[in-house]
Amino acid sequence: MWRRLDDNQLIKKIHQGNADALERLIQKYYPEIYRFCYRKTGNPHIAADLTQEVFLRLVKSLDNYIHEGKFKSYLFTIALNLCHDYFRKQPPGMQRLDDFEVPAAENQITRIEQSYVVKEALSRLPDIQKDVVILRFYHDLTLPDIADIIGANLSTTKSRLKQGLEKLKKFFREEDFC
Amino acid sequence: MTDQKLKEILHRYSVPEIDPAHLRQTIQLAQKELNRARIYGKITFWELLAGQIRYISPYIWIAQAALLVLVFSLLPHLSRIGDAQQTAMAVLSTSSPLLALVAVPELGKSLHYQMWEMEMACRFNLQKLILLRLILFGVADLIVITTLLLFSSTHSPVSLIHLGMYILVPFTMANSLYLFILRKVRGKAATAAALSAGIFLSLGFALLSRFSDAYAVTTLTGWFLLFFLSAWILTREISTLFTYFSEGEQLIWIRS
Repeated sequence: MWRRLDDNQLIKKIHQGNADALERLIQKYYPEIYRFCYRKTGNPHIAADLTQEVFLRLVKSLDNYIHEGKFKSYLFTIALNLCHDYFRKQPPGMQRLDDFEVPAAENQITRIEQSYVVKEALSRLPDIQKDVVILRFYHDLTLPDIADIIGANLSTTKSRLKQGLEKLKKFFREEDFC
Repeated sequence: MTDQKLKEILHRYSVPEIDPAHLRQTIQLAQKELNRARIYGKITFWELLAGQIRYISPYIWIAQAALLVLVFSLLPHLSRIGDAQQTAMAVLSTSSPLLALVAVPELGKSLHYQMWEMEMACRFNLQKLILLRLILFGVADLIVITTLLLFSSTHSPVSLIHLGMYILVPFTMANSLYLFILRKVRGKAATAAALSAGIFLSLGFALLSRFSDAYAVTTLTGWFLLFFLSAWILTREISTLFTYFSEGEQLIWIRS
């Protein structure tokens, strides 16, 4: 039954106090939010904690939630803000690449190395460009949706994406990575 | 390098598998939070305010009513014996610090009985509760002050604006002093200190209005300046008090 309901219908049910609808909504978006938090933080445990916090914040803010755009964008906005808060609270020099963890499913050295190089490339981008690249290339969001999430206008978003892509291409060319 | 190629490269950065236990925990915690929100429901500001009234001791309202009755009975009698203007000044300036004093024990409860933790674990945070109480006391005081003014104006030749200043200046000064004491003095001593300060302040204003010519002849502009100054001090004191509560909350959060 729940699979047939779209996000707005699920939210309506949650507003009525339906815990099953909330479970369905979390199951639907948990993987995507987790992947986003992981690519932002580079640590599976921190990513899991931040993902949990995203959904708790969502429940707390549901009373004030007014549907204007896509619900998915709303979730990504919460996730992005929480990731930024997380980095703000970290002492300088204790961020990002320090705790690179190899994905459990990966057992081939080349795949691990490639994963590491891509992570390294992303970590070199400024946050404002990295956010746009992650949302566009890993989550297939449209530019207007990304602009909505990061709170910038469309031309700024396009420009950040372009700059980010140029830097990534340059990095991969220098690393002879293709 | 094309965007498509770049996308392919970026996707080589894989993400670890999701921990199903963590997903289950997230669902359980979120459902718990939802149930909590459902129990409480969403209430309006007025419902919130009305809900707080029952937690305020009835003695406060009785004390305010008693103060009104006392002024009602004293003012006409005293006006007949002495100078009407001085009598109005003395009665109003003396009663206004006492009027502000009535709310002090109630405001001090959180500090006296170390209720911070309990209040913070409840539905509303301490700042919100204090703000609600201040609003309630403020409204009650406003009603009493208006009643006092209207009554005094019928028994005194002094203009309503002057009468207003005689009551508002001591009232705001007294409130600033009480809030300062509540913030600075710890434990039960805070209420005792505020009560003593209130009585002294009240007596001081009574003496000043009775014997000081300067007080009696101060121009309206002077009174307005005094009023704005005391109102500014009160605003700052309220702001500092809220910062103090906020820091107290953080302190307890860190300790726990």
